[in-house]
Amino acid sequence: MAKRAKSRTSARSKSRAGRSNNKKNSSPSIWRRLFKFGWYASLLIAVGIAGYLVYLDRTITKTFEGRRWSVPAQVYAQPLELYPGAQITADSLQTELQRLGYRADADLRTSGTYKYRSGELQIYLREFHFMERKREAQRISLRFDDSSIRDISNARGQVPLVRLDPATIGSFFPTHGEDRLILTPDEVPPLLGQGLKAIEDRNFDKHIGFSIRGIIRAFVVNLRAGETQQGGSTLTQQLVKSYFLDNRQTIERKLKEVAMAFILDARFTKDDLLTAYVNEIFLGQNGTRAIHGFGLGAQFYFNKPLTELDPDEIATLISIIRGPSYYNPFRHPQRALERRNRILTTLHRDNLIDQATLELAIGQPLGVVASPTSGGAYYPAFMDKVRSELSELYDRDSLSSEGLRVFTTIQPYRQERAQQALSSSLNSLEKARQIETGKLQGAAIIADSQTGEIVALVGGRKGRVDGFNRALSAQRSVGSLIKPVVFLSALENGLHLASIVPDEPITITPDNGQPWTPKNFDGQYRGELPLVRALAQSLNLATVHLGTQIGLETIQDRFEHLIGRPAQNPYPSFLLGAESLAPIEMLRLYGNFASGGFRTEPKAVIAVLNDRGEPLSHHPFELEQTVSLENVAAINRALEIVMAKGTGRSSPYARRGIAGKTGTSNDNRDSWFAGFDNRYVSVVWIGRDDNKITGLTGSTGALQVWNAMNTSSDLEPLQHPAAGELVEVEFETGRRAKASCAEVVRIPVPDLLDLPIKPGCGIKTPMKDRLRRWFSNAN
Amino acid sequence: MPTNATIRSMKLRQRSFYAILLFVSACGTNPYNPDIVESESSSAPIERDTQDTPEPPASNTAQATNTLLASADAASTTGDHSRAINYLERAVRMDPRNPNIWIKLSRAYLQNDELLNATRHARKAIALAAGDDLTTRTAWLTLADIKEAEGNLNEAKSLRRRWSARG
Repeated sequence: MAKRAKSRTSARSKSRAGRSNNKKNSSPSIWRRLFKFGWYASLLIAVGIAGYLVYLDRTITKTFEGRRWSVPAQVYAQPLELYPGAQITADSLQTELQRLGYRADADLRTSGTYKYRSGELQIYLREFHFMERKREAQRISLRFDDSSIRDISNARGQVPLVRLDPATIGSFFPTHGEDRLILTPDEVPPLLGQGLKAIEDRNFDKHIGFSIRGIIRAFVVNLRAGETQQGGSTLTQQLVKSYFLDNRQTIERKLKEVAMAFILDARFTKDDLLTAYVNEIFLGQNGTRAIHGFGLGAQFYFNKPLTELDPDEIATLISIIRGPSYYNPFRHPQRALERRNRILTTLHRDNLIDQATLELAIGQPLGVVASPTSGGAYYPAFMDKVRSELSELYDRDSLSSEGLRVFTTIQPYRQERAQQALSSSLNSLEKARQIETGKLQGAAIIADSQTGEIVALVGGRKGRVDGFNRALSAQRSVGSLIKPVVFLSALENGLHLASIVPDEPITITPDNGQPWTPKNFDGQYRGELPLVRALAQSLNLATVHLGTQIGLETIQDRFEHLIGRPAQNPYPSFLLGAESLAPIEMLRLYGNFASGGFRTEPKAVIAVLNDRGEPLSHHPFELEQTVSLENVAAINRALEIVMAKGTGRSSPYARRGIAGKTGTSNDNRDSWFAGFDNRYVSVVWIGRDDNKITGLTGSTGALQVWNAMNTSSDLEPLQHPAAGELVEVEFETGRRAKASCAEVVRIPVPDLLDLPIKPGCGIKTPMKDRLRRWFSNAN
Repeated sequence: MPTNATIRSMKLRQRSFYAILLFVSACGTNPYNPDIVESESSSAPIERDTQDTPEPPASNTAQATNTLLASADAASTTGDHSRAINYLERAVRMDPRNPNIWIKLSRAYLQNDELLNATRHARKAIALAAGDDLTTRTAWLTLADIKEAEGNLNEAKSLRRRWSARG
């Protein structure tokens, strides 16, 4: 047993010894293997990391390069032309300068400033690259007469003509809503670059894209707090986050961020990275538009270029970076102000600003424009038109990245006045007629009558909200606004404004339709009357009689020619405006009259330049003669009488040489007005989006908006160069008469002898004419 | 179709008309009754309140537009017609009813070989020039040049024959 036991012990010890020997024998091989494995693994990991870095490098460097200079197209308004004789007061010009972000400065130190003293307005104009040439920054001086500019001079003498720089009214940022104004390194103010480093990343010039110390410090702080309190990110890391990553706080994402920052730092100079940061960093949100970069930030918060910002304003922008929402200077001005002042103190401590500058800057208010929606120029409805014109020539990518410069026709002060007129008129109408608040909607467009260039386009009662653009897209029944087409066709088919038409009951049964018995708005009949009165009083029965006499087909052909598309409604109800048009189409229709007989395409874009200022496309005035001069002069004269004596007579400008027409669709669902003076043609529509009844006529609704859009001094009486001699006829009957014996209107009539004479007015036909009539009758 | 007899009768009546007219005039009778001659003094224009309607401002843009026309000429001289067009459009914006600017714009398009635009702008100039014989003539002769550039020589010739003889 003991032997067995011994033997077992011996066997065990042998076995142990054997194992021990084995171990001794195999040890170098295992280590070698382990070492080998470790080496390969490390190599693999290193290759993996290197591969990943190469992959990252390729991806991000390309994206970074592509995006660094990716600039959305900038869109400019029409600049204000200044010249001796221009109708503008010193006050209005200063308002215009403020709109452009110019500020009063008694020393006129930098461009973008002005001063007004003893009747003289001095402006330090900014440099701007216009379509034709670059205008250098320069000081000009203007003197005024009562309501116009007397003279303009600069350092070299008298100036016959000079422009303000145009307002930037928007840009074509990509679909993810980022907008930016890209700056080159030279355009970044030194204080901004140094300030960013002082506040956000003191070791920016030394680190390799990330800072281990910073990350550890942030880790400790966050661990103690039990939540994320510190980011520990360098400027480069912040840039990486903004360019390539989302906001998740995971280890994996952090490692990726560090790797990317490392690559960018290795690839690009510190200057490049700082400039990219200045152009990229998120500074706030304006509706769907994200404000990226200090260039756009300066415009958005201060309505002026970055180069014109004072130290306190630069500090405000820097303060926003940490929390664009938390430090939003509009919503939390006190919080933003305190942070701005802390930043100013740091800048001073770092010797970036001197004591005097610090004191001056701390004493300044925040100075942001009143609210992000009231400041700056942002006209989404007009931009829709610009976008639609450009989409024919440019793809979305070009518009959002190639830095195109788009020059447009809008005149901001007219646009804002039109928007204000529409919004306030709708409020008053709702109150006065007890319509549910906010239910009335409207649209308005104003264009230069000779060139078709749109100077204002209002798509709804809220001008700064993107949404359904009624000016371009609302197809609404036009009512009596169609009537001038019927009357024009009558003139073109041998009738004149004093020709007689019956205003009597009529029933029409179309071939494949129901009998139709139209009525006048008041249910009355007026018997025989002249065309001019039928149009002025917008009489339905007279119009239908006239239309039937001329022929619906003839009239619809005319409509198609004038508007560029066929009529949709094949029935006689077309004659009374049972046809839908968008306000912009209505503008095109009335443009034929306002222009003096040319179909004049309403347009918004003048030209597009590339980022080097070279022309890419020019968009000429589009016009084609559609109406003879005589006939258009006659129609315009009749439309002037509509205002003076007819449905437009309630307007305070009714007798100011304005031509216009009111329109109301069935059951007062749509209220229209189209009108023009010698310069501008306007169309206004009011109705409800749900197409319910508003109770408004053209005269009680849309005309009120038009009234509010205009001022007496703006309106220029219409000229009728081709109207020839005007004849006085009785408004009621169309017979020749005099003001002393009848209520008369003065109209062009091709042949006096066609007109009967009102007895008792002392009008005799001269012998010559009597003889001529006798002979022509005899023929 | 009128018969020969009708035509003879018309001619006879026309001659008689002129003969009688001559006779009446020779008798020293004024054939025009002042009563029916259109007179501004008979009443104020009915549809406008003249007393408070400002007159259309006199062309206070002349100096400014002339500056632009000179710049356009300079650009054209160097062959930069696109730039000239930009200057001229700017002038049109300031004085949109001035036919002379439209004529220049039409010519700039002609020089830039944009004949459709040249034609449209010339037509516009013709319309705006109504009542001004000299400008009307210049506008039509511009259109004649455009017709020639289009290769429509007969129409160009006919327009020149018609409009060169005037003025």
